[in-house]
Amino acid sequence: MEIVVASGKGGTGKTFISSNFSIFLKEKAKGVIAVDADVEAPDLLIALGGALRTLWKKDIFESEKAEINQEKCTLCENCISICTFHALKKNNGKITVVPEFCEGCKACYYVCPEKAISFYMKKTGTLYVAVSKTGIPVVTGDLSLGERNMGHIVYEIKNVAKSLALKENINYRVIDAAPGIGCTVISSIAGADYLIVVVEPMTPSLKGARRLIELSKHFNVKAYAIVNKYDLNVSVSERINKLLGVPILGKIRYDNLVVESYSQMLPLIKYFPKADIVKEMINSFENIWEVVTSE
Amino acid sequence: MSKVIAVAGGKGGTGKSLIAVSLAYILSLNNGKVLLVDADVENPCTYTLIPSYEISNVEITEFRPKINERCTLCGACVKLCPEHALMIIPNKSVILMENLCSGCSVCKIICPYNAIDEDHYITGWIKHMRSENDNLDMIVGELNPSSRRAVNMIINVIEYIGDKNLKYQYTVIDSPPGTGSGVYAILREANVTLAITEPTRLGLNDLEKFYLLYKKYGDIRNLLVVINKSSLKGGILEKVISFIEKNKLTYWMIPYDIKVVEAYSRGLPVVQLYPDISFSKVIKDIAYYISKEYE
Repeated sequence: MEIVVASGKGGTGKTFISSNFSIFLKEKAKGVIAVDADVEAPDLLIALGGALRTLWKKDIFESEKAEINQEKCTLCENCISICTFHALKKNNGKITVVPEFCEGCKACYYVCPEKAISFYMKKTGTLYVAVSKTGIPVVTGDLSLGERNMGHIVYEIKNVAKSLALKENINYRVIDAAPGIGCTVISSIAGADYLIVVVEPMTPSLKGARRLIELSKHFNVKAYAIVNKYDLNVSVSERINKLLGVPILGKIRYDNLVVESYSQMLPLIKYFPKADIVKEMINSFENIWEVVTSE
Repeated sequence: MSKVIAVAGGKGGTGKSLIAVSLAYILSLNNGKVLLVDADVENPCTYTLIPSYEISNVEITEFRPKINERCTLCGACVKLCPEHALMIIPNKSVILMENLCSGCSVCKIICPYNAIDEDHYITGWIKHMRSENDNLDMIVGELNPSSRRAVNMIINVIEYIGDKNLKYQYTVIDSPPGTGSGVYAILREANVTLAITEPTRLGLNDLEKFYLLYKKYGDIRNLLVVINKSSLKGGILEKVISFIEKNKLTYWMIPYDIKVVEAYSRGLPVVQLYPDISFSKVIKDIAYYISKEYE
């Protein structure tokens, strides 16, 4: 079972919910794998207390990049006009490649009359599996700086998690998605069973959540929402159900304990069990549990 | 030539959009013509934070193949499509899997029978807007929610403003979260970059990654840091400051203030509504610093 935690907007509490929900599932479901699909800013491992040890690591070399042989190039600019990714630029009488933009499609190669373009492989990032201090295995990735963040990387991360789950006989995987609605988020949602949208009662977050829910309709995934920091605007929070059109499984207040628990690297659910925010959180998680086990 | 200010930082929800809008607003009061660009194409929200109206809307499209009757089912396009978006149904036809296609046009280039026509797909929209006080011109990039090409949309926005920002003294670009090629596409155009962070473990982790990205490509003297919500109780402010000071970066701190949240949720510029709170003073200070250092 794959449960994705996402939000159209950044900073609404995806990692907060994913990390604590993973701990909840560890007890409830006798095991869980936490998956960080935000390779541009991976924080899930930290939220789970940091790494106890790394189990496995692999570099990904998935992107080919174009390179121009300046001696052969006659500056016809065919390559510049064909490149849909704007990866070729003319500067100081020379055509050069912006490797960060290049997708290795080879369109430039096919239109170059001088055969002046060749390709090389570049490292896109690293995948690894670590055991966090909470004992939960975390599958995570780290995108090389400035690199193209592609859905393929997320698929690969999810596949690693899937085989680990099979091997260890673990039923639940929690995916902490990247912010937004782009291709990595799509890859996070594709193939998942449930989508938990984390939303704040503010316009930018609501807008993002609506886009995300709209997007999720293209996939075979059941969408629900959790309202985080609901007390920042109670009247909007009360209407969120209507505004989003998906069932709300819980409301969680704003509390400084969240910041504090991160600072001490002690997940909130475990170390402040009596706080009101934790009660609201557990209540929300129980609701998710009921949904995913009742079908 | 317009001075370009990027507002970025690895983590989501640290206050990038709010600070971008506020800074652009203040600069437009002090220095005349300012362009505010929303490049967070997956969830653009600057225009929800300042009363504004739409002037025009440009559709951004990308290539899609349309196979015509000259197709002989030779299979060359299927073989060379880098995204494996084309499939051959033996003795019948070649079909396109729309959601895999990147629009690179390799199929059209290499088809020996000229059997591929050019069709279009909407990547997103670029809106021209203006603030209600008519001081601020705005360009908002918005990804088509069914498109997978967020980075391409960002690059389109950047290319689009490239020849339009000449008449502005300052161009303020609101960046998406992250450290991938979409963010890089913005940083490479900027004269100065504000990295917005918060005094939390996750904020610091993402700032460190963002700093490495910036250092890889730019001169770190042009990287300024804002620690937003600096007064958060239980945070790790000292650790964030010591990272910033160790790397000799210029920085500002904005304490948490519920008035900021209130203005944000009302969609009104904080700097206008509450000109005397710390938030507004710091923004004015940053504007003054930038106008002095980047004339």
